[in-house]
Parts: sequence; C-alpha cells; structure tokens
Amino acid sequence: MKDNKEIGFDILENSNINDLEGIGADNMMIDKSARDRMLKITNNKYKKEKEMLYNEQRNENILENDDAVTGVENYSRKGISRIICTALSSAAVLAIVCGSIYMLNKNKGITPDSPEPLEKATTTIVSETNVNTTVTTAGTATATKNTASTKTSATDTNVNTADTTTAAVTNEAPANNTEPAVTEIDPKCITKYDSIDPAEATQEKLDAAFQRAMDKFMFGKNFYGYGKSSNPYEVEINTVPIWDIKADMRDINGDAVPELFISYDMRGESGQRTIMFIYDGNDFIAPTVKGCNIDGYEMLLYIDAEWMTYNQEDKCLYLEDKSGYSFTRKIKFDSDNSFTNVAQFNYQGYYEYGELVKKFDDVRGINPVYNSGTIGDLPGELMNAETFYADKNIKAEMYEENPYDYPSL
Amino acid sequence: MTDIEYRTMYEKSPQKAQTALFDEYLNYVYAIVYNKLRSCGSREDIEECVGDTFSAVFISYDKEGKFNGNLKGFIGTIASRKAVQMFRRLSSKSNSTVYIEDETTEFADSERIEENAERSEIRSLMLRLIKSLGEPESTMVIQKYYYNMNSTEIAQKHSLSPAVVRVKCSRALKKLKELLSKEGYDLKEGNI
Repeated sequence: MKDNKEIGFDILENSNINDLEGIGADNMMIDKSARDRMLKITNNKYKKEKEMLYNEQRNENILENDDAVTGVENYSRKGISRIICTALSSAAVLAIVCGSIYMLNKNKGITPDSPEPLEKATTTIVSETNVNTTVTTAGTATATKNTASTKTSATDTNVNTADTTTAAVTNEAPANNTEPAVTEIDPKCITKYDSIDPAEATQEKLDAAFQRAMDKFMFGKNFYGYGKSSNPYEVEINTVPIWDIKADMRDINGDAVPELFISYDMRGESGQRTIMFIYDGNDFIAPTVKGCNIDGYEMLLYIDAEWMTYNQEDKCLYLEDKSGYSFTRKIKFDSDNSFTNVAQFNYQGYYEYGELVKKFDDVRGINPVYNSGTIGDLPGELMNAETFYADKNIKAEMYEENPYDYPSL
Repeated sequence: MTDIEYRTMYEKSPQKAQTALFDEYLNYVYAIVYNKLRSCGSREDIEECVGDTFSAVFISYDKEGKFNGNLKGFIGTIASRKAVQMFRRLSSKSNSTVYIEDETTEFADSERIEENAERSEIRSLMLRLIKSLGEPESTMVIQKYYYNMNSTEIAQKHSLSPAVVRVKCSRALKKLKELLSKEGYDLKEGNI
C-alpha cells in the first residue's frame, strides 16, 4: 500500500527569485523566432506606452498653462524701449572694442617675461629623447651655448633646460619598469599542440584539409560548434542546421601555417558565431582550452564565440558571448601552437589563469578582460570569416522544408 | 550589462541599447515569467508578459534617466510584478483559484499560511534532491521536465547527442524517484 504523498515538478512553480537562479535563466532555450516575436511585442507595447506617456505630459502642461493665464492681463512691451536698449548695448560693445585696441597699441613690442614652467618642457622632451646617453650629453652642451646667445625666445630656453634635465633622467633611470614580470602559470591552463613544419603544410595538403573540414559542416556526421560545450564530444550534425557559412584560412600566430576560421549562423543562437581550427599536419582540428563555463564549472572549451578577435600585441585571442550573461575569454595563442587560458569573465566573476580573482558582484561597469565598459569592445582584429562558402548546410535545408516537424524527425 | 553600459549605448542609439538589454536579460525575464505562468498561461501569454516587462523597463528608464538600484534586481522585480498581474488576469478569466505566495497577504488566514509553508518546504526539498543528482543531470532534469524542452534542444545546449540526453534523463529521473521515496514522497507520473 502506498502512503507517500505525490508531488510533481509543478511544485517548483512560483519559486522566489533566488531559487530561480538554480532552475532559471541559464537552463532556458529561446529560439530565434521566439526571441524576434517577443522583441516585436516589446517594441509595439513600448511605442504605445510612450505615446500615452507623451499625451499625459502634454495634458499636464496644458493644465498648468491654463492655471497660469487665468485672469491675467496681457502685457505688451513698448517698441520705443526695445530701440533704446539695442542702441545702448551697441554703444557698450563699441566702447569695449575700441578700448581693447588702444591698450594693445600702447603695450606694443613688450612681451611679458614669464618663462614656461620647467616641469612642462621636461616632460615633453623626455618622451622623445631617452634613446642613449651620449647623444643627450652632446645636446646639453649645445643647449648651454644657445642659452647664452639668445635671450628673447622663451621657447628656446625651455628646450635647452629640458635637454639638460633629460640627460640627468636618462642617466639615472635604467629601465626598471621594463623588467619582465615572472608569473608562475598553472600547467592546466596551457594546452600545447604540436608545431607543424611549414614545409610540410603544402598548399595542396591544406586545400584537402580545408575541404574535409567544410564537408563536416555541410554533410558530415560531426560538428564542433558551441564554445560553451561541456566536454569535447562532437555534436551530431543532425541537431545543427546552420546558415550563411563563411570560411577563411589565415595565419595569425606567425608560425607560417594557417589557421582556419569558419563563421556561421546557427539555429537557437542570436547572431553569427566563429570557430577556429588549427592544422595538425593532416586535418584542421578544433583545439580545446581548459576554462570555466558560464556557471563556473571547469571544462574544456572550443575557440568558438559570437565575437572573436586576435590582438598581435599580446598574442591573445579575445572571445565574447552575449546570449544571456556576458562570457568573455582571453586566450594566448603563441607561435608554438600553445594556448594559455589567461583570463576569463563570466557570471561567477573574473578569473586569471583559472583562479577566481574577483567575484561578479565586485566588477562594476568595466569588463576586466579587456578593460572597457563598452560591450564587444575587444582589442585586435576581428576574426570573423568573410569568404562566402555556402548558404546553408544539408540539415538547414531539411529544416526549411519541414520546420514544424523538426527536430523531432 | 550594467546601468552605465546601458546609458552609454542609449546616448548613441536608444533602440540599439534597448535591443542589447533585451538580449541580455531575455532568458532571465522569461524564466521568471514562466515560473509564475507555467500552469495557467499559454506560450502567447508568457511572451506577451515578457513584452510587458521590457516595455515597462524601457519606459521607466525614459522617465527617470536611470534604473533604480541594481539593474538585474530591478528587471527581476518588474518581471515578477508583471507576471503576477498577468496571472490574476488569467485566473479571473478561468475563474480558477491558484495562489501565488508573493501576493497572499490578502488571504492571510492560518490555513493558507500552513499550506504555503508546506509547499515551500517541499519545493526546497525537491530542489535539493535535484541538485544532488550532480551536473549535467540536474540541469537536464529541470530542462526536460520543468521547461519541457525536448532531447534535441537539451543536446544542443550540452553538446551531446539526443540519445545520450535521453538515457541520462531517464536514469536521473529514476534516481530522483528513489530519493523522493526515501523522503516520503512519490513523483506524480502524469506531471512528469
């Protein structure tokens, strides 16, 4: 006999917002059509409410104006007073102009003896002349001579004094701040792939590998997508209709072997995504780097994102996703085919080399990965592929033929 | 997105700022609204309520020139209120009496308080047991049985095949039933 009370998943309804975090937003999946529908509803409602608000404000203004004019006699300014005011104002302006011209003429040829502050000149020259000490010392001698011969030019004096100061600064300051910072990096943050001899990566081989990679997108059983993947398993392509496929090979890490970038629109994602592949000597493979997902769980992640840039200065890839919460990654991609998870910012907080260094609530306004408050303001060049490859893959064609029966085919 | 980010974008293009805010918080708002209207509203009702929420958020910013307090909290509160309003509207149409804890002050009789407390306790227990299934099973169970997502959608989210999702969900559900049984509850078959 069963005495247990029956409960269902409906018990989770009406949870408070804190409980919702556990069962809520990150578990939702809103497809593009639903998103567009809701955005349209929002815009229509907003437009109507905005009109109502405007009408209300206008009515309020009319009411206020009605109160103001009731029983008040109209005031009309006399024409003669306006003419007198204009004439007096013009006379005052004329007097000021004439007075100024007279005073300037009276002081002609005499310039105030006020040399520029030394600090200002010093700063200017230091930035231009801290190359080597020998040259600067020679400059000092010239400067002294110039000071003796010309007294009138304030600018010259500034330059001379500044040169002298520069010599002192250059001698005193060996480049202390250029000393390399020694940081121990947890090996788990680094994923190293074999370097490929550029001579082995012939154009013929690369073209064949490119074709195989594109075939996987178009017809194959495997698809790599989703930077937020929970593990490096490949997703079956029958779950992934994709459109507007573009592909480019370009060498970004300077090892003379190109990387492959594929951009695509995927069902269920709000915008174009780009995924990066590296050449392993035979094929283009999707590299994975250890990191945390949006919830802070440690896992292997593909180089795949809505926005992807590569910054030559720090040799880092910057990746950002903005569906739901922001999810930003900074990955160093070196010429030895190594990937280092340098920094990451997600709903949990800001990570450096896999360690949480700042909680999400402590980060305000500025994304610490790229130090900007503007969304998608990633440093470096955009890595989106630009060369059109195909309009859609085979599964997208199936989806378009029978969208209502998909994906439960 | 923060208040400052929104303001900066809004100064350049209000429409772009609104769309960005919409994309950023759509899942969050949808989850709150769904949580309130799951039993009494259709998909269209939920989507309309999401529209009401964002519209109210945009209007509020237009009026004040800022958001009151934490942006996420502010949006969450508006979503919650709009969902309760929609819930009342739908309930009055269907003449059914379903309760929402947030709004029960008007029915503050002892019976309802006890009922709410018990419901809240069972909900906490259910959440705790689901979480004890571990990841990704706990998330999958919520997605499948609470949000009614199909295996293919869940598979996309977790980068697994639908078959693997089905197996994992089935095993997780079996385990959840056992756990609930130990606590003196059975999982309603019709409600799964």
